[in-house]
Amino acid sequence: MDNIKFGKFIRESRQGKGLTQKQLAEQIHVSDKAVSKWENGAGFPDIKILEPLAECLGVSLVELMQGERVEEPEIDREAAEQIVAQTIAQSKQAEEWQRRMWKVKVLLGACVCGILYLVCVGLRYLAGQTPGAVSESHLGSRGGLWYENPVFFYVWAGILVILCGAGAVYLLWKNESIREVKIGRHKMKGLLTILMDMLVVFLLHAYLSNIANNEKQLAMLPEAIPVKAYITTADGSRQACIFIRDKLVQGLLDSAYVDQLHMDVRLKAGIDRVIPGQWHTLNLYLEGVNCIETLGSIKESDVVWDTGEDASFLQGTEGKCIVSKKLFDRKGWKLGDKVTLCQWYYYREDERYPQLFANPLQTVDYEIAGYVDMTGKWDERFVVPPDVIVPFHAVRNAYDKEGIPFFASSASFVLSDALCMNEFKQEMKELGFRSVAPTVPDYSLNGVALSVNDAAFISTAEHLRQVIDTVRAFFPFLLAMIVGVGYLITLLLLQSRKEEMALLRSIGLNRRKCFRIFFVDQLTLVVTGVVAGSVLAVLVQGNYGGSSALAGVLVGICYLAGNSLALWKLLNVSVMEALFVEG
Amino acid sequence: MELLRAEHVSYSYQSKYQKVEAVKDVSCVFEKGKFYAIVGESGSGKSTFLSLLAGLDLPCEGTIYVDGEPLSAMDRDAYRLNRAAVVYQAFHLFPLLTAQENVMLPLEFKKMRKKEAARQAQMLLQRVGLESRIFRQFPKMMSGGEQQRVAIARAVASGGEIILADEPTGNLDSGNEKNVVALLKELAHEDGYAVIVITHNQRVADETDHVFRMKDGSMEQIR
Repeated sequence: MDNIKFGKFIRESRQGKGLTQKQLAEQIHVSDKAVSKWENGAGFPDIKILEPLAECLGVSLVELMQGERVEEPEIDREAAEQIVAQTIAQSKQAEEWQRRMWKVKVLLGACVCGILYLVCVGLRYLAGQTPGAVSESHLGSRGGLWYENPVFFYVWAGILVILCGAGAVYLLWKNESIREVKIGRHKMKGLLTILMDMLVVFLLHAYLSNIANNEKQLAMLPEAIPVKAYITTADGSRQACIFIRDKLVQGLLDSAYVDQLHMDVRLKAGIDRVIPGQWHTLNLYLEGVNCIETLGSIKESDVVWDTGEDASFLQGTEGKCIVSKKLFDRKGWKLGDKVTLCQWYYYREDERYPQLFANPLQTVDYEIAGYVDMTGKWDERFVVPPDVIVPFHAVRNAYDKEGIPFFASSASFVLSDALCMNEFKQEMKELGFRSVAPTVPDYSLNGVALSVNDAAFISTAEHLRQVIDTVRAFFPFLLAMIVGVGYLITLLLLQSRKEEMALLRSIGLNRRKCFRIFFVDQLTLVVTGVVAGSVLAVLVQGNYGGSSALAGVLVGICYLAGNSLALWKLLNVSVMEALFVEG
Repeated sequence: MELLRAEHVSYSYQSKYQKVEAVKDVSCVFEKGKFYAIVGESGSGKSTFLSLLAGLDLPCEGTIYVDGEPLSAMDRDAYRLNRAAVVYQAFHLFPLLTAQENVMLPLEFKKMRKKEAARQAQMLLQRVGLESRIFRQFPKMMSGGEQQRVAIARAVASGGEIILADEPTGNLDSGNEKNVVALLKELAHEDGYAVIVITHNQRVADETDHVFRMKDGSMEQIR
């Protein structure tokens, strides 16, 4: 049976009865849209409705099923059976078609969602593989940008994918037909749209990566520019051979902001014993250090070690020492020999003045763990090189044992987290350290001030922060520009298709449906361009924590917003002006 | 049988410099199965009146009735999709669609399945006298006469009752002009369409059943 003929017959019969589509629909309890569909040949009524329909139209069931008035009052049995069979088959076919369409819609929606999600995951995987990519653990430990959080990324990617999939299915399926737009046949315009999107994504990705890169540099700045601090006299003039109170020493040892702490304590010593009055017997300089790095340019590899020995004993309190090669050779010692050293400590009678005196501390046996040639490795202009190097804490314990107030001779360290500068300074202030006051001379040798070399760090951090803030401030304007680009490019490229739009309106498509057709066309091109641009950006520029996916999404949304505005404006075409001859 | 009726229809618009009264108090009736011509000089308001009959705009005054129903109360897009179709002087086929695809368009808009739409389109193209070799050709490969026939087939594919033609033979040679006019006449007399053409061409007007003349926005029936 010819659907068109059937539809035309319904219309003629309805008009013959003086009924509108709505009135007929009400009588047989269907929607007026269904009646319209039948009359246009685009559908067939359910078999259950045929009889009430025939009754309303004032025709017989046979006439209705044949789609024409039948002159003969009766037809033979065989012809009747054939008509009924055809009608039933047609109705079943229509039902089957509806069922299949729903399955296809769901399947299509699931495929679109799946593909989009795989694209997002794939982009993220690529990000992990490209050089310069930031590892998630690093980001996690640093508390990185919001879209870098992997859980957050997968959740919003999933939501976005579902929305896009549902939107795509709705648009594609509600769309009357996209065939007349023929994406593939508008090759040049399609290609230009795709290229423009790729370029915009590329540029936005560069912008976002710039921000992410600067933020990463800021986060890694403490490692790149370590901030060193020194204990000095109040005027900052001396850092070595000063008197640093034990309370301050302990404070530094306990502080979480102090890293790579280097301390030393200077003593005088004599071998075996010191005879009072015969000060030539107190002729050695002894230095207690907590690690070999305290000695400055002397490295662990410069020391000639006894078998099985290394510099680790300096961190403890063992009775071992390193001696200068000069002393080692002069005394004819061997590695592993035990030497008895009589240690004397420096003190001041009045802490306001620098006059130094010495008193006996203790006599200790030390095993020679190694010797080192200090020639050329020590700047003798400021401090005499030590003859014997012993563990710092061993000396400190001796002070404690003898009940003598302990003073370290120097201390320096690196800030463990330069980004917590303010908290660190507050803690040091609470410990009792002062800021350096260079204009007020201090000759007392008291190590009470803290000198922090943070100028370079602060200057770099401030510069980075300024760059980030400036670039970030531009973000809303950038998005507005992308909307503008989408608007202008669409307007330019689709200007020549205004006639097609007018024609579609003329054929009977309303503005909203026309918009949907062209929007689907543009959506396909924009998504293609955005995906291609994102992949290209990742390959060329590397990825900083999902910035490619973010750039793609932002460009897609903003470009389509401008695109939609332009489409709506173009669809405001006057059909009369566009298609009719002036008359 | 009356199909289209215009009652005291007037239409004016604001051009850049002045208000233009394109159609002034026009009343007329168009019946099924008849072939009409509207003649007149350029600027007399013929195309404007035709576009009002096509539902592309509403009159400022007066009413147009379609089968007794006022056009202003209808969904005018559905009216053009299902009841009335327009044929243009410049053919206005979609350049990147084949002849068959152009004709399938209104059928697909009415949610007809692709296979059925293709079959119907081929039937219509044959009905307007085109050979099957034309079906898969693009408009730029066809002659003017062939393009206009495709446009007419597309108009018939709407499945409506009204064909409105704006200078359909304006871009055709005399041979094709005769063929197209004959086709339109056939559609009116044999298929029951109400066919209304705008024309400057007296030869075309002579082939019609009734002629209206428009002058300065007003219309009178001269035959």
